[in-house]
Amino acid sequence: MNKKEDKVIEKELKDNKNTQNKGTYQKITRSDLNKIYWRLQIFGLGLTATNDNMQAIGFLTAITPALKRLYAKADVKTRVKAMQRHLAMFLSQNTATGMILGITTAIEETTNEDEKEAVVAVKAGMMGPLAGIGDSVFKITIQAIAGSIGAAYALKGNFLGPILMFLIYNAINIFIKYYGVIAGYEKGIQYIQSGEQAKVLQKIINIATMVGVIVLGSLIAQYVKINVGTAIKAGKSVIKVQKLLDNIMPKLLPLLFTIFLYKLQDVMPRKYMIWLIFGILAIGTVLAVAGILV
Amino acid sequence: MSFMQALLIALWAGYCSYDDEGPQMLRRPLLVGPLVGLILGDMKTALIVSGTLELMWMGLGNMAGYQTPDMIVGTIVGVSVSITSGTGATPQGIAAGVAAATTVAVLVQQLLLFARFVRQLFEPWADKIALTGNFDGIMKINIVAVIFQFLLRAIPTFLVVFFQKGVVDKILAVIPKNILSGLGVAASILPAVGLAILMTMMMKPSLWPFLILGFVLSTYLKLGVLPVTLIALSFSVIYMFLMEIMDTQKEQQTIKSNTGQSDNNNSSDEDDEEYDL
Repeated sequence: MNKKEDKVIEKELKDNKNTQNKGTYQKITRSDLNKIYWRLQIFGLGLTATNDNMQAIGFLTAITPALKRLYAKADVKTRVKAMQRHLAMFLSQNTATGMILGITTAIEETTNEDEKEAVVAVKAGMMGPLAGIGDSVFKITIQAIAGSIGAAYALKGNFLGPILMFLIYNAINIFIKYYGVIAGYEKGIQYIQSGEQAKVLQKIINIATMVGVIVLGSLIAQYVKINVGTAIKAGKSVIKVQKLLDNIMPKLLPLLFTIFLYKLQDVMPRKYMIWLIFGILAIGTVLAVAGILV
Repeated sequence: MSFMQALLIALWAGYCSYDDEGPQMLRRPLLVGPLVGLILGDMKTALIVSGTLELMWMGLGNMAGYQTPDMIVGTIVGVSVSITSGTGATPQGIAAGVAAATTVAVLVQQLLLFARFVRQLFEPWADKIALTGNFDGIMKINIVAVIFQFLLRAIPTFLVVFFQKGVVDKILAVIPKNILSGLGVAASILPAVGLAILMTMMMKPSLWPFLILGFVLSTYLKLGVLPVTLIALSFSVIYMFLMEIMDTQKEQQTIKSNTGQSDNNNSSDEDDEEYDL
């Protein structure tokens, strides 16, 4: 069903293509765009998120500088319409919303009052796909890599850890957010729709995922610690189980256990995860007291 | 812990709470925890506990439709417990911190569900402001929202941090030493949980060789995260280049064999739609 709705939106987007919705700085100024960025940066989307229209209030807050410029001389009725238009349901990811704000501003600037459905259609068409990109690249991959580099230093008690993590994550995050507003405005909707752009985005996601998975493998080896303390007495000689396992492959148990937990997620809903943590703490403690784990 | 320290920690919790929904620059245990160590005067413990929590909760925080355990108050309380219980950066101290952090994170999770309910009130308010046509009016909601978000975590953090000391000390005094050290061993398994969650978000069947590559780089070659990341980055870029070359070669072949078969393409599109339904 969603596919069909998407197709309707896609068609509307294609119709808009003919009108060349690119920002031209005719009415909107660069300082308006800067203001939009700062509002997104300071107020975000989640502060005012509700269950029905989700992040709509946050979006309206961020795009207000553009509306103020475009509707400076408009009558109350038009302004009410403009505000209500941007209070329609919106749900995306913070970083990626920079670009949606830029493109929406460009379309607001270039459309007449009776073409405003285009604004709603473009917003609705972009928020899902861009949220997907935002989540997979920023929230998951870059955050995980920055976090694990930081944690490597922090676990040794080195203050460089949090500083490195903060710099890596925020430099990329803030640059994309700000650049998104400007580029979205200047290049318009074609920026997203052209096949080239989609290919570049796909490439970024692919590289981010590959790097993420390789680093993940390294993290399992470095940070999951499971050592067996049991020793088997065979005649006079004592065989340590851990040594036996290490001869097969070092860190074999951490790898197997992590993969086991990963497979467990297929059958166990994510909301029980916190009980999984308690469970591991409890069973791990019992095994450690019994001397099976060291 | 003095009143002043508890107050400073509560203010930090309030700021982090605002940051979590607004600028989104901190959010993670490793960025939230160290400042608590600075306030309480034990940086090393704060760094180690925050680092452990960071790994444990690695994939957490982006699950649609369900409120995740709260990492912010969890981290702040966990670090405070580790430092003030006098155990410091020992395995037992870290384990006590991790256990406290997890417990508090679950409790605060319930509080955040209540916060969603309160935020719902912003919606009729916003509709009312929209009817006035006053663009600046929407700012009022944001200011109220920032204050609400600040207090939402500042107040519970103050209460827990200020009153936890006696309670946690008593609990730790009762628990036998070998159980505490066992808890320390168990806590070192926990990063597996965060990494497994992360795997559910990134893994595809074709990516297993990549996972093994990273694993081998660190087990046998003993490389740290930074060198592994750099190797992974160059490896992935090279891999993408190779795939591109292969794709263009394939495209050229299919163009040669598929010329004049556009009708077939149309019918296959219709098939796709049926599958979607």
